[in-house]
Amino acid sequence: MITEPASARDHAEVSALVREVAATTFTSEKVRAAAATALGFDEVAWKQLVDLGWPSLALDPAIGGAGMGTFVQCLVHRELGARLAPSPYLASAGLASGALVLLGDDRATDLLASLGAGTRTAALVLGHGRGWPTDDGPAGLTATETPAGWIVDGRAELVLDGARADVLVVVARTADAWGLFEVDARIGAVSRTPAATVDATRALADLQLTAAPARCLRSRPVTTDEVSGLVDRMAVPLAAEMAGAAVACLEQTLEYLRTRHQFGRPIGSFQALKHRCADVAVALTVAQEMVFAAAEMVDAGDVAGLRIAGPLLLARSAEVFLHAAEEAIQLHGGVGFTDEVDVGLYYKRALVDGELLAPVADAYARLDLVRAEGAA
Amino acid sequence: MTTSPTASTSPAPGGTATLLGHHVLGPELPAVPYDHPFRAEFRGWLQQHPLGPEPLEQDARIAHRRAWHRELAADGWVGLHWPVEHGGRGADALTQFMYYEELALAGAPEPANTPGLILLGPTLMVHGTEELKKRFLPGILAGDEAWCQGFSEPDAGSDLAAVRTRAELVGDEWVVNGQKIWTTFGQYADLVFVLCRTTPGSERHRGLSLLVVPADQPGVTIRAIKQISGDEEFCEVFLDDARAPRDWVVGEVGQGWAAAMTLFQFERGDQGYTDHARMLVRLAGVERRLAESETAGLVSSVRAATARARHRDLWVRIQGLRLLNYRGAVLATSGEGLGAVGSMTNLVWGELEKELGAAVAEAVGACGLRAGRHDTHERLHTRAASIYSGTSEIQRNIIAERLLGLPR
Repeated sequence: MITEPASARDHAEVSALVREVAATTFTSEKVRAAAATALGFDEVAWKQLVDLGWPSLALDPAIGGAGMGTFVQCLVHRELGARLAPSPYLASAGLASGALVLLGDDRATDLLASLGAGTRTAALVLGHGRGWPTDDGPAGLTATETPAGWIVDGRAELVLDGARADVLVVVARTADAWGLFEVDARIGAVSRTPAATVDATRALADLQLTAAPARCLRSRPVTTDEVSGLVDRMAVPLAAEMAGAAVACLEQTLEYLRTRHQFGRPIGSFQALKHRCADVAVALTVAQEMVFAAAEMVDAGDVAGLRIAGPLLLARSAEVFLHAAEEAIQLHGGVGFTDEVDVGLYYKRALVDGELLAPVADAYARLDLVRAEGAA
Repeated sequence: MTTSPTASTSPAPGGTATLLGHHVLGPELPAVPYDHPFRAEFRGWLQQHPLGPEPLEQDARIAHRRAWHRELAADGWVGLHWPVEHGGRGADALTQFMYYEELALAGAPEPANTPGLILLGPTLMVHGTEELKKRFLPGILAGDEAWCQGFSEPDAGSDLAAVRTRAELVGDEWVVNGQKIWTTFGQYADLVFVLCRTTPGSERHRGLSLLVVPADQPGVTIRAIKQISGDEEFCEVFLDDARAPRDWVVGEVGQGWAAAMTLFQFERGDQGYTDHARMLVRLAGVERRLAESETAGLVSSVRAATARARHRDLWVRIQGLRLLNYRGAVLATSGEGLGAVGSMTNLVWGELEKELGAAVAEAVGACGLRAGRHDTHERLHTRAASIYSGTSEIQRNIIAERLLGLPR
């Protein structure tokens, strides 16, 4: 067993409950079946999560939330990640809601409340693309203020839940900075094309917005620094899902090593295999600690801490998850590369999660930049 | 355990020391904030107590650390985690965490008697009699009596339960015979912790006892082992009818294994042995040095680029170690043991230590080959790190079997 992060132990009951629900709601059979449907997710399971109040766990009680903070929500992310749950939860409750909390003003309250209540789902579309934005870098999405209101133009590729969300929460370049906007995803000005990838459990889509009417969710402009802070903040729920998936991947591998016999003994008794598992376990433990230490920073409003912790944990979680999945395939031997066992699904999920927000190399480059600033 | 030649402390006598800023450590962690009053208090003291750079030669280095131990001890800055009744402050593990961080930022070495402070003293507190505690604890704290640990033997290294050193009770004394090896700084020790067989014919974990044996006696011969670095950190200890008083047994007679395991828990858990802060300070020094070396033409731009990628990787991994230590401190503060997680910390530390040692030497290019330099020395010295407190391979076995439940 991988040890719980030290800081998560105060929430052992919540954690156990979440694990149990996730394990029964998202069994391997259900996950495979849901991923194969047109929507790519299990609507019944989503309603169940909504009934449990999970989309609003971290939200303010004033708008119907449970006020339990990002830390507790990350426990949910971790368990959904562990089951490869095909669910709107990450896109809507994790990324879009998180963006509204961080950057939105009172204009964003209604949308936030409806996402928390699960009456609508949202996808987050970052106009600068992947990685961290720069002042003079390219922007795929631009927003223009017209006499009739704001409109957004441009293209965004491989957007999580882009094709099935009701609403797009868009960060787009304006004339002098960035802005946060709500765009109705179901109108003609938004063209959405589902993008099939290696991982059917994450529903990605390519979006084309053509003079799409938008509602501005914050009166003040958003600075490049604030968009960077948003990426740091978004790294936390995504990394929680990756850490959870990596742990599950190792646990399945350990189970196999304990039960599969060769040469008259369980193969898990061979040191060559043990040591590989130990290395994965150490990396996982560290990655989990990083994720939950960062979740505490989010709840404490420690923006400076997250500037370093965000890219750090994103890079490490992605590396660790991919490594755990690669090792899982190898340690399962022949069945490891068949579709019979789930480790291959974890590998594919690791590939996709590693690109969703920022690739590892970009996260490390960002880390170098932020550290250099700190030393100066 | 390696002391940094790279940390910057002003040696100006009567002046004040320059302490590195907290940014060197990485992001602030909730339970050990950078504005914690403990940090401020200790930094204030450290600022008023500058110390010169560490000498390279081993005897001088040990003398330097002993003097530093006494200076710290004089104002109550060692053994903070010891209970008040034994002269400590009863500080929790999170305070210890901050203590090591601040010590490192000041470029100061750890107190000379760290093994006594974090291993033997606490083991005595758990398993020792009142008399033993009274006799030995004050000397450990003040730095007046140095201790070493007589556990490993030529045929009992990673497999410690194979120890063959034996002791029998003759009158009021134990008479001890056998050989110990890998005894850290045995040549400077006044007292030896000896794990030996007190039940004749016993096997493995049974029938062992932990005795305190005075080093200065005819039956004890201590011979230093020369390392590839030129240091003599480890010794062979020959016990030929060595004597120890009958009462100098830590724990019950025959229960030495339990006492030894307690000690290992301290070893795997205390950050004094897996000091992330000292590593981060050293790495910051390496990064500075590399820039200077590149400017001076000691390393090519290609070599510098390779080194920088490596430094970043090291920084990330040391942050991981920092979180493991933090985790350990949080657990210890809530009264829980580390279990196999201590093995994780040890594994990460040992592997990092070697790579950091290599990076230190690499940062000055071919100069890192010249004898008599701290950086040259550090690369050679750190090769031992993944071996001497339980090899990386043994740590991986422990993690796999005890934490992950893989079959033996």
